[in-house]
Amino acid sequence: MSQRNLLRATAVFAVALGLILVGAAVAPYAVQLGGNDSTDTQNAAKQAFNADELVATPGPESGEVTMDSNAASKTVLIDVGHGNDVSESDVQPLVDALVANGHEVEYLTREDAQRNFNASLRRADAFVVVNPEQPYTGGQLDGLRSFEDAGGRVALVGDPQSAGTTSILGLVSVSVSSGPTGGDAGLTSDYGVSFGSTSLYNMHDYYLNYENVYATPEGDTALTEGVDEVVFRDAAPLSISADSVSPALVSGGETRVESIRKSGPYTVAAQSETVVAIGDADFLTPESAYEADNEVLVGNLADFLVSGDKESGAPAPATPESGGPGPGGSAPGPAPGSAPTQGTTPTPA
Amino acid sequence: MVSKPSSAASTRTVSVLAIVAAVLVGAFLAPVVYDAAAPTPDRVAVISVDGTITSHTADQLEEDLQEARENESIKAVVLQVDSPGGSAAASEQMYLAVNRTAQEMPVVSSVEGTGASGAYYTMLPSESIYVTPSSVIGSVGVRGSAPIGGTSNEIRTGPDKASMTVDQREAQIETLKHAFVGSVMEHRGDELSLSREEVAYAKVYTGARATQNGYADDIGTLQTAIDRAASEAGLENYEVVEKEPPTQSGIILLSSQDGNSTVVVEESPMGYDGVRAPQFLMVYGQVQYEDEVIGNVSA
Repeated sequence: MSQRNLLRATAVFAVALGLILVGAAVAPYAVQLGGNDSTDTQNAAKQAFNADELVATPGPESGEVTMDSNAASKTVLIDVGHGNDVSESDVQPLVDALVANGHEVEYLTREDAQRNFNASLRRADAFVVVNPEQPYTGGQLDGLRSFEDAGGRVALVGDPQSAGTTSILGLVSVSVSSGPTGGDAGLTSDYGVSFGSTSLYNMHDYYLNYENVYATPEGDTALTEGVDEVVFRDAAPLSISADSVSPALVSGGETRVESIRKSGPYTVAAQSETVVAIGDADFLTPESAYEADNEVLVGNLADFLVSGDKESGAPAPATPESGGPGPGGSAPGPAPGSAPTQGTTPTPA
Repeated sequence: MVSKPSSAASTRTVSVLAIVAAVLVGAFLAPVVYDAAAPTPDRVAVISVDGTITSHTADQLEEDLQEARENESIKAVVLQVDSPGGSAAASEQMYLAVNRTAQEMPVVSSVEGTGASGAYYTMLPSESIYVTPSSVIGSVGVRGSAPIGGTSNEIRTGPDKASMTVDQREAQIETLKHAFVGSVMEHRGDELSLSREEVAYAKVYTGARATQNGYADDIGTLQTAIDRAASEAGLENYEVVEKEPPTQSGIILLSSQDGNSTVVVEESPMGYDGVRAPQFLMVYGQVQYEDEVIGNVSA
């Protein structure tokens, strides 16, 4: 091969290689100009969802818990002595309203419940029971009945869990054998109302979650004055078995019971002259007390608690015959470090 | 006179060498030319959605589907589903990837085990969903851990920095539910005999029942789904290419006494190592969070 041919071949090789390399360098820009996959993906995602239609927003928490009552100073006793699943902070809105209106709030401790139950009730004008998890003794029930007969006010507040275990009231379990309708007999005979053991839910009309059901006033009770709608989280249905007790709040028609899925409406709050029963304890908590008209309900409950005019000296000190645990019930054991006053069986004072 | 025979021999040698070189180069190039000249066979891609859905699962599926869209020989996709769902975000990512693919080519799904919650979300855009009688599908819902309180040994710039209220968490989960249930109604509303509220119960159905209420289209095996996908794409002669499912890591599956599987979320790919961030899940079965348990609900 001549030198001239060699030079020509080398030149052709260099030019071809150069073109290839330039082409490789330009290609990425050309691909980018043609559009890329991710842009289309973003558009497809946006087409699939409309954010405005998806977003659920918590409602405003507003209002104040106020009382209308001008009653003279009363004492409200809140039970925390029966393993109650409630803390002082859980009932703070109610307590704050009572104290702000000149009333006194006391907590019934485990020790007082065992040794000075009747004496504690004697000093009180109203008794509040929230989610008890230990049964009441027969003597305690007798004392509570006397307290109510004397004009004392009783508020029974319970979530489904508590109703399903010891049941609201633990009050029930001590009188099971004396009643005609099984586990609710004691409570039914005592208060004319019983608590269901499973939660209510509503898949059609609810607040943020299907278990947060709305309830509206039924009839004309003082408990629901000024209430349009309340939100109960994890509500228990109530059954009423006495003419003296009236439904106060009822859930919507599409509300169902979680266990059997039977549709409502269901009574979730009831009232008689001396007793209020509410199938939800969460509305008392600071987190839920200002949702919907819950704060009005809390204020009305506070008014109810101080509305009585209890006879002084009731309930009377327990007699030995009535002091022991009732049939079917078991007495709570003594608190650590404390000794029962009479033998091994705690007796209400 | 002596150089002539030598020159002829040299020419022959060069010619032989040239032929040998041509054969060698040809041996390399011939298959390429052959492939380029021969007509490409049409293909149906079978892509697995297997096990608990994590971000890794979603990335793999997205990659496989992108390849299917870009490979001109792939004319249809079949999703082979056996999954109880998993991370809500990953499930949503997979739904979007399938949705985009379904706009370009037929996508058909086959469930021969479980196709629940996030896995059902994934296959919603399918042209058809085939199930076997004992398949389990449905569970259209979202779940997440309840908010935990902030710790007192740290300084935060806002009250919701480390946690949130129950209302806020419920609103978030409800928002995700709207997206999930809304997508079900959009894609299968014409087939479903159930209302939006009934769908939101998050119930699971056996394959047999699902063909009656519209959650699935028909009883069929994976091969049925492949045949349907090919038919939708107008293919008579085609090949089937299978994409292997991604390997699972960090998920522990336990079997509980009642036969349901338990997904232990601790240190799983659904979360972030060392950070207890809120977990939104679209999963069916019992879920045990690191320090709390949500009951055996369908979601």
